[in-house]
Amino acid sequence: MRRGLVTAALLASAVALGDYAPQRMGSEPLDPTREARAQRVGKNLRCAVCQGLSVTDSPASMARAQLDKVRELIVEGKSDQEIYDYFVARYGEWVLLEPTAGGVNAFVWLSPAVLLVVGFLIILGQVRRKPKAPPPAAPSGPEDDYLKAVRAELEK
Amino acid sequence: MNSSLGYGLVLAALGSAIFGAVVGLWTGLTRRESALPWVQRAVYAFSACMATANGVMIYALLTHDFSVKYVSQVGSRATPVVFTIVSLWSALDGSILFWGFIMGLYLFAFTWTYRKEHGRYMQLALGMMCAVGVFFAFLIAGPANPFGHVPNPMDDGPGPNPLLQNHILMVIHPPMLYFGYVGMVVPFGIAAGALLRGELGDSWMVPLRKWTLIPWLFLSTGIILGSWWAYAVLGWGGYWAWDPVENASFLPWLTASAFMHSTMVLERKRMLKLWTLALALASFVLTIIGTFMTRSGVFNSVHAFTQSDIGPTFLAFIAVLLVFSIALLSFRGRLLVAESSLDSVLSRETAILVNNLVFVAVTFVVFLGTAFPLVTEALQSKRISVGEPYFNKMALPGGLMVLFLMGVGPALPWGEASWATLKKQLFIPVGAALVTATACLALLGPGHWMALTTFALAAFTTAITLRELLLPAQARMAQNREGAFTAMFRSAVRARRRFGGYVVHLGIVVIIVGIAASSAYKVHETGTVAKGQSLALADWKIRFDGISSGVDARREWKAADITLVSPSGATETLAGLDGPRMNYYPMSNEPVGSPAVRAKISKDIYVSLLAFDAEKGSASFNAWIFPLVGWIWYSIPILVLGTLIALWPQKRREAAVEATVPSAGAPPPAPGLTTGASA
Repeated sequence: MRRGLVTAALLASAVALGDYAPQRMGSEPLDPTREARAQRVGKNLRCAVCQGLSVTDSPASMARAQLDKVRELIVEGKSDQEIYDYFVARYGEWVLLEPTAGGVNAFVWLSPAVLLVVGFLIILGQVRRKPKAPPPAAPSGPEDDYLKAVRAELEK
Repeated sequence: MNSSLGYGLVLAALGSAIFGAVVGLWTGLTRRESALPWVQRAVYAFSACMATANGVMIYALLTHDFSVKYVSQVGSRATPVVFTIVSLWSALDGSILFWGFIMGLYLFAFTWTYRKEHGRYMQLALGMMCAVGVFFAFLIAGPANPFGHVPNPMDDGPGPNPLLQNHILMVIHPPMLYFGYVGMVVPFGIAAGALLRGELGDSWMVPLRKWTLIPWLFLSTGIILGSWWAYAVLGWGGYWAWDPVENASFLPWLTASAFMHSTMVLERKRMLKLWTLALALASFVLTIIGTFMTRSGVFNSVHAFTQSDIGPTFLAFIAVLLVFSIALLSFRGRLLVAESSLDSVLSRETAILVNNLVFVAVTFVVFLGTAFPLVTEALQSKRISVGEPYFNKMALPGGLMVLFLMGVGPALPWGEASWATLKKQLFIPVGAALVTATACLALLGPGHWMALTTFALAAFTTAITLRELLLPAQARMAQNREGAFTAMFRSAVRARRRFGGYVVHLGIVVIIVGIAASSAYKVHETGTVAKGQSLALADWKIRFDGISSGVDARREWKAADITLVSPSGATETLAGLDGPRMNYYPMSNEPVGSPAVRAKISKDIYVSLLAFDAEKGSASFNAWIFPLVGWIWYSIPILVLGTLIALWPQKRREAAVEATVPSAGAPPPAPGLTTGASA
C-alpha cells in the first residue's frame, strides 16, 4: 500500500493532475463576462483532490464542483476577494495557488528579486574592476601551440 | 532463480563500484596514475553487471516469473509484450534498476571514449562516478530492491499503470528523462575530478562540455515530450502545470543551460572557472534532489517521506553531496583563479554573465516555489500552496529576459562594443522587432502585452541568429565561389559548436513563441450539448453525433463522435477512437480520458469529453483552440539537429592537436602511464 503511493511516482504527474473521473455532468457556464471571471478566479484556486492543478484546469469532478461554487458566488454578487475568503475559510490557505504576500511568504516573493539585484551588482562590480596588472604571462613551452589550437577552435 | 541471479548481479555491481571508487579516488589523490586500468576495469564490470541485471529483469517480466517481487507488482499475462518490456520503468523499483543500467551505459561510454586520454584527471573523475554508482547500486540492493523473492507467487499480476498503456509518448518520454538525469553524473565526475586535482586544463573542458550537452539534449527532449504527453493524454487542455515532477526535471535543465554558456566565457576569458564547475555540480545535485522530491512521496505530505524506503537514503545522499560539493568548491576553489575581468558592460561576456544570472534566478524561483510548501509545513505545520500563478508571474519575465539575451548576446562582440558597432549590429534586428510588433498589434489588437513583447523579441533574436548563421556562409560564397549549400555546409562544419548553438537558439525561439501564442490567444468553451447539437468555439462548431463504444485487448472505451465544422463550413468527423473518449482498464477503477486533438501547424482544436449521459443522449465537452501550441513539440528536431551539430566529433586530424598536447605541458608522466602523448 505504501509502496503503492510511492510507485505512482513515475506517473505522478498524471495522478497529480487529478483522477480523471468525469462522473459529474458538466454544469452550464455563465454569460461570457461572468464566466471569464469565474475561470480567472478558478485559476487561482487549487483543486482539492489534485496535486497542483487549478479548479479551472482540472477535469476532476471535485474541481468542477468547486468551479460551480465559484459561479454560484459570482451570481450572488460576491467580489473576487470574498470568493477567495470563502474558499480559504473552508480549505485553509492551502487552497490559494498563489501564496499571499504577508508574513513568511514574503520570502517567496522578494528573495528572487533580491537575488537578481545582488547578482547584477556583482556583475557590474566585475566590470568596473579594470585589470591593473598586465595580462598573465603566456605559459611557456609546448602548451603554447596547444593554446593556439584551442583558441583557433574557439575563433571558428 | 531470477531473483537470486538478479540480486547477485546487483551485489556484484555494488562491489565493482566500491572498488572503482576507492581505488580511483585513492590513487588519484596520491597521484599514482598506474592504477588507472584497474579503475577502468571496475567501471566496465559495473556496467556489465547493471546491464545483465536489467536483462534478467526483462527476462523475468517476459516469462511472467511472479516469484520476482517487481514482476508481481507490475506484470500481468494480459499485457502486450511491448508494454511488458516498458513496465521495467513503469514503477519505482524497476525504474531505479533501469537508472542503474543507464548509468552503466554512460560510465562505459565515457571510460571507453577517453580510455587513452586525460590521465591526469581520469582516476579522480571515474572514482567520483563510481562513488555515485555505489549509491545507486546500494539503493537497488537495499531500499528499492526489485529482485525480492516472493515465496508463494500468484498466477497473475495487476499489470502496469493504465496511463502507461494509453499513449506511445509514455513509452518514450520517461527513458528520455532518465537519460537526462543520470547523464549528469558524468559532468559531475568530470568537474569533481578537476576540483580534486585542483586544476582545470583546456583539454579537460572538452569532455566536460560535451558530456553535459548529451544529458542536456535528453533532458530537453524528455521535458518537451512529457509536456506533449500531458497535453495529448490528460485532457485538461494544458501541457505544463508547474507540478513538482515537472519542476524537478526543469531545474537541472536550467543549470545545465547556464553551464553551457558560462563555459564559453571560461574558455575565452579564463574567468568563471569555479562558477562553471559549480553549475556542473549543481546540475547533478539537482537531479538527485528532484528525484528525491518526486520519488520519496514527500509531496503527499512532508511527513510521509519516511514511510517510503528510499526517502531517507536519498536524503542522506543529498546531504553528503551538498557537503562534499560545497567543501570542494570552497577548499579547492582558490586554485582556480580568474585570469581576466570584464572590460565593458556591452560585451558578449557580460551578456553571458547576465544570462547566467537569469538562469540561476529562475532556477531559484522554481526550486523555492517547489520546496517552500514543504518548509512551511515542516516549520509551521501550516499548509500553503505555491502554484501556477506564482510560477508564471515569477518565471515568465525570466523567460523574456533569456529571449532578449539570446539575441543581444550573439550580436555583441567579445571585449568591448563601440556604439558604432552596436548600431550597425542592431539596426536590422530592432527593425524586425518593430515591424513584428506593429504587425501583431494590427492583426491581434492590443492587450496581451506580454505575448506581443515576446513576438517582437522573438523577431529580434531570430534576425540576429539567422545573420550569425548565414553570414559565414555568405562570406564563403563570395570568397571561394562556393554554392549556397556547400558554403552553408562547410561553414557549419568549420564552426560546429557555434553553428549548432545557434540552431538550438532557433529551436528555443520556436518554443517560446509557441508558449506565448497558445497561452495568450487560446479560446476556451465548455458546455453540455444534446445529440445533433453543436458547441460553438469561436467561429468553429463542434457537433455531437452520438456515443460509440468498443473493446480491444487492453481496455474498453466509450467515445463521443464529433464533427468539427470550420468557419468556412468544411467538416471533419472524429468518431470512435479518434473522438474524445474515456478508456476503462480492467485493473483501474477510474476511467482514463483521451482528448481529441486536431493538430495543425497554425492551431490545434482540442476537445475533451467531460461526461456523457447515454440515456438522455447528451455529452459535456471542454474545448479549446490553441494557436501555435504544436510549435513547442515541433521544435524537438531543431534542438536535436543543433545539438548533434555541436557534438559531432572533429576529424582525427583536427582532434589530434587537442589530444596530444595537454600532457606535454604537464609534468613528465610515470613510466607505463596511458595518458595523452605517451600513449
